[in-house]
This record gives sequence, structure tokens and C-alpha cells, in this order.
Amino acid sequence: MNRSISRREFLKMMALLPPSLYVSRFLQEPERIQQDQNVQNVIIVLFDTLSAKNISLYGYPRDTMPNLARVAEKATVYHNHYSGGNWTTPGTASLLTGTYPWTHRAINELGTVIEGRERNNIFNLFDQYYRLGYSHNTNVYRFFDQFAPDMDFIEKQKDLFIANNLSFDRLFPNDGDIAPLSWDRMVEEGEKGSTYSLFFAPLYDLYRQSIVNSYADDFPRGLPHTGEDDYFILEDGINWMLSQIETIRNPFLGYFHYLPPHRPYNTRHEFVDAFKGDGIRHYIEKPRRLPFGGGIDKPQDFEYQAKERRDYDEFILYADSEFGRLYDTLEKNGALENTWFVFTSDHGELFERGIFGHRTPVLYQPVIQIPLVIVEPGQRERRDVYTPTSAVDVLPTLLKVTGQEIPAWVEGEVLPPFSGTTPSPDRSIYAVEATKSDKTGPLNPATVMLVKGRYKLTAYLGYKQLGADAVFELYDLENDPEELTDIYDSASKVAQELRDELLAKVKEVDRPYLK
Amino acid sequence: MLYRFPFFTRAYTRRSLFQLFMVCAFPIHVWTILMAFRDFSWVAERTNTWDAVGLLSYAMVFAFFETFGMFLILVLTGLFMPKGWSAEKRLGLLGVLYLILAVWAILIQSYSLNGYPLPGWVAKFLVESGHPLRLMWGGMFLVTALTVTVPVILLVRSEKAQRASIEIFDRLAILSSFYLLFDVVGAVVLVVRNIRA
Repeated sequence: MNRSISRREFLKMMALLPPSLYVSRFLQEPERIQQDQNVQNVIIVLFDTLSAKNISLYGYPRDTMPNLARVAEKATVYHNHYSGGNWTTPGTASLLTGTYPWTHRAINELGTVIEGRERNNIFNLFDQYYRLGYSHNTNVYRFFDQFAPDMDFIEKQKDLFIANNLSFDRLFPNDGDIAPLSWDRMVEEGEKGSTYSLFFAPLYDLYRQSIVNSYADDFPRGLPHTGEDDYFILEDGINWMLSQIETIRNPFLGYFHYLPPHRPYNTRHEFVDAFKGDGIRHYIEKPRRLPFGGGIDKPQDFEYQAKERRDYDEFILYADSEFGRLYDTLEKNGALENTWFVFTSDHGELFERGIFGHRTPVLYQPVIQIPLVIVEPGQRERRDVYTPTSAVDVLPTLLKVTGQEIPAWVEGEVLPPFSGTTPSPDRSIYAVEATKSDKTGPLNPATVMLVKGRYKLTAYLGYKQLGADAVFELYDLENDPEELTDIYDSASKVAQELRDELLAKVKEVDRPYLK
Repeated sequence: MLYRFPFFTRAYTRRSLFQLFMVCAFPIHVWTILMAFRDFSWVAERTNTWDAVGLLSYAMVFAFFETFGMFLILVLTGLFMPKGWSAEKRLGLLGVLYLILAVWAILIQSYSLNGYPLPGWVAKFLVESGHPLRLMWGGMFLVTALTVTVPVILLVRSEKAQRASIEIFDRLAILSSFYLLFDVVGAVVLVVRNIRA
């Protein structure tokens, strides 16, 4: 019994070790949970900053989303769908709460849903479901933090970033707020390029850069990132999502918010210059009537505008290719047979009138019109809906189609054709930009948009630089979809009706916040 | 354990190692404290003072480990110096080189932090030279080389300079000992935060 192992025996054992480890993987029971065909799951996939105006499915001359167009052949396509706001915080909050920004009040920088309304969210209403979420976008995590009591699993944002494997999150999991913040301050260069650490930080930066540089061939314009030195590739996000869907219990509600095609437009190598020299002059000179900038503010420079738009379009191609891979995998796995699949965005992007980006007081169509495609379980034919719809409609629609009650506080309506009734052409759709307004004050300064039928009225309220308490723009979207001619003065009857309605609405929503 | 190796005992005394550690701690802690206090009120306003204290504590504990890392690197570097050098000479040279490196690191970070613009006449001179990049890199190399070579030559050749450096290190050690006390407090706060949560 006490005989020691000889050198020969030891070597034999070591030789057997690698194959035995390898074989043991095959013998492991996969953690796959049996799919229950009687329940319907919900998947919401959101691509940040995706304007419907730049999607081929909606008539854009460049074929930016061939995979979405393919999926749309077996889906319901909403052609006039509007975001609740023109940037992530208000737009996403409207989607997740089914309420407009004047109600959820996630309107400011670092905005969150107003106190007392945190439980009015989609995850709370799907309380019989396994609810999970992920986002590349930090703004969304403020909602995840608020909605955490109603969510079963929130994947950490940094877990799907590249070169973030050293962090205090893992070392100090019980101090989830301050430990990662400390790490960021100590070793990751902030916006001013300084760190607490004098010597370790530059070495760590070199290490991270070496990892990022290893992707240089795949992403010649640079790796996609959040703007805060957090790099990622969409493939990782999609792969993670697929792995989750395969293993989580049914029914589930998954919210997956991916950053592409948000700036910087760092597309994958096969899409670089895909649209270069295609001869499409889809950009037209548009009047810059209001003294607003926003995002990257540049003078009207058509060369710059064309280049920015082309880079954006090529980044959309990348997002679309991953979307196609995701959808095909889900379809192949049979996951879509019992799943409602929703594809949308939180807001659009603007490349006109000298305004580039989306953080702007203006609410022209490219920044506010977003895609919405819903695939019903087992749907085989395409349906097109041209009635104006809003992001606040998605929540009540999903409740209805999964057989649940719609609470009274929801401001959206069930989308056609799932509502079972003919949609009213005179329904009013709103969008709000109120970043500079107080969270608990009236909407001022703010921009409020009202779309009703063919008309779109935009009210600019309380902007000092405009020299008036309120300035309005009115466009006939049917005859002037590019919003070139403001008819506010010439169409006085329509203008007056819409203005009265919009101002009455603003007065109504401001009432609780008047001091 | 390293004291079992004769080459190590020849290179360092316990006192020189202690002084070297304290010298390492000084710039790292000064910079960390300066930077962390810049953020203290920002964090306190957004969350609470306890979180701000937490941020400071993580920073101090991290500074301790960074100090230790730099100390090890310096000790190893010192072993490559000529065998015949005394522990004091070795300590003087390592300490001064380290402090020069720290000053450069602080200057680079301060430059990023405050965004000092290049003086107009320098920019003009560079542009007019026709080779602005070459000149800039050349100038940087010259300045860096001077800040390193002059003190090194002084320390190697002059015993007076060595003594002066050791005396400076003695004083820095007193300040550093306060910082190390902060590190201990930081470690306690860190433990409390992670147990409490």
C-alpha cells in the first residue's frame, strides 16, 4: 500500500490526464432546459440609434439591412413607428414602461424613472416569466438598477466588453457600486486622461491596447466602443444571448439592448467602404431654420455629411449581419416557434441641417422614426402597418398577445393588427426631448412632437435662444416626408388645431409639477 | 527569506530596503490622495459620504499594492548594479531614479488633466522648423536624458550627493509612514464595506 509511484507510472498518468479531461466534457449533462411549447416567450432585441430612415426595409436606397428585410417577409412591419424621445434614456424608458417621457420622467442626463413609478415596468408585469436583460449602454443600467427587484437576471455590462477581465467587480462582488468605480478611477483613463495610479495604469493601458489591437484586422476603423474606453464586439453579445435562450427556463422575457449602430461607426472589415462610390446622393440640402446644434455640431458640409452617413450605413450593415445570424440560429433551434420576437430601436440619428448625432433639441424624422418589426410565433406571412405607432405601444401589445392584463397607467395602445380593431388614423403620437427640464418640474425648456395622421407639429417650448416662449414647425409628412417646407403659417386651421391639442396636453402633463 | 542569499545581503541592508519602500510609497500616495480627494465630494454628493470614504479606501489599498510592486521592481533592478557598490549608494541611485520617473509620470498625468497648451512661441518655432515631429521628439529625448543622466552622474561620483539623497529619503520615510497608516485604515474600511454589504 505504501509503495510510491515510479517515474514511469507517473508519466503514464500524466499522459492520460489530457484525454480524460477532454472526454469528461462529453460526459457532462448539458444544462439545457426542456422547452415548454405551451407558453410563449418574449424576446426584445434593440439596436441603439437605428433610424428607420436609414433602413432599406423602409425605403432607404442603400441596402443596409438585407437580413431584416428577409425576416420582415414573415413578420409585421410598422412603417411609421416613433420613439418616445431622441436619446437612450427617454426612448428606452418609454419602451420599458409603456409611458411617455412626461410620465416616466427619465429625461435628464443620468436620468431614471421618477420615484414611485419604478415598479411600473415591463419586467414587473411579466412576473410569471423568467426576466433577463443586457445592454451595452450604461444609461440602460440605471433602469436595470431600478427594475432589479422585478428582474431575475441582469448580465453585467462589462462582462461582454473586451479587455475588462481585470476589475474590482469580481474581487469585491459585495460592493457593487464603489468597487468598480474605484477601479475605473484608479486605472482607466477618464475623459481627462488621468488616473489615480501613476505606474500600474499605463501598463494596464498597454495590456488593454494589445488586446484591442489584436482585433485590428477585423475592425480596421477601430473596435466598437461605448465612448468610455469600453470595447466590445457585437458577436459576443449575440452569442451570450443565444446561450442564455438555450438554457433559461420558459416562459422568459429577454431584453437585449445592443449599442451598434451608435457612434463611433466602427464597422467590421467586410463592410468597410461597402457603399463607397455607390453614386447614391440620398442627402439633400435641408433648411436649418432653428439655431440648434447637437451631437457633433458642424456647419453644413455635404462632404462631411456624406462621409458620416456612409460610415453609419456601413455600421448598420454589421449590425444587420449579426441580427441575421441571431435570427437564423433562433429559427434553426426552433426557439421562434413559441416566441414573440420584437426588433426595434430607442431613437434614430441625424445627418442633416448641420446636425450630426441625436443629442439635439430638434425632433426631425431621422432622429425619432425607428424600426419596429414583430414576429409572431410561427408567423409565415408579412403584414405591413402604416398607421403611426409609438414605442409606448410595445408594452401593452406584448401583454395582450401573451394573455395578460394591461394596467391603467400604460399610455400606449395595443398595436394593430393585435388590437383586433381598425386603428384610428387620428390617433395622436408624441415624442419629447426635455433634457434641460427639471425632473420634477414642468417641461421647460423642451421640445414636444405631435404626429396626427399626415401632419407633424413640433413645439419648441421655453428655449431662450429662440426669442419666444414657443416656436412651432408643422410638416405634411405625406407630401413632404423630408420635412423641407414648414407649413405652420400657411396651414393655419390645421396648425391651430394641432397647436391647441399639443399645448393642452403639455398643460395636462405639467399640472402635477407646477409649484 | 532573501537574506539567505549572500548576493542579496551584499546589495541591501534591512534599513536600505525599508527606506526604499518608503520612497516608493511617497509619490504614489501623494498622487492618489490628491486625485481621490478631487472625486470625494463628487461621489459624496451623488451617493453618500460613506461611499466617498469607500472610494478613498480602495484607492489607498491599491496604492499600497502599487508601492509594493514598484518596490520589488526596484529591488530587482538594484541587483543588476555593480557588486562593489555600497547599500547606501545603491539606495541613493534607485531612489533618485524612481523619484525622477514619478515626477515624469505626474507631469504627464497633470498635462492630461489640465490640458496645458503648448506655448505659442514653441508651436510657432516647431511649425517654422519644417520638421516639427522630429524636433519635438528630439527635444523630449534631450530633456528626459538630462533629467536622468545628471542626477545619476552626481550620485555615482559624489558621496555628498549620496548622503544628501539618503537624508531626503529619511524625511520622506516619515511622511510615507503616515500614508501607510492611511492604507491600514483603508483596508479596514474595505473589509467593513464588503462584510457589511
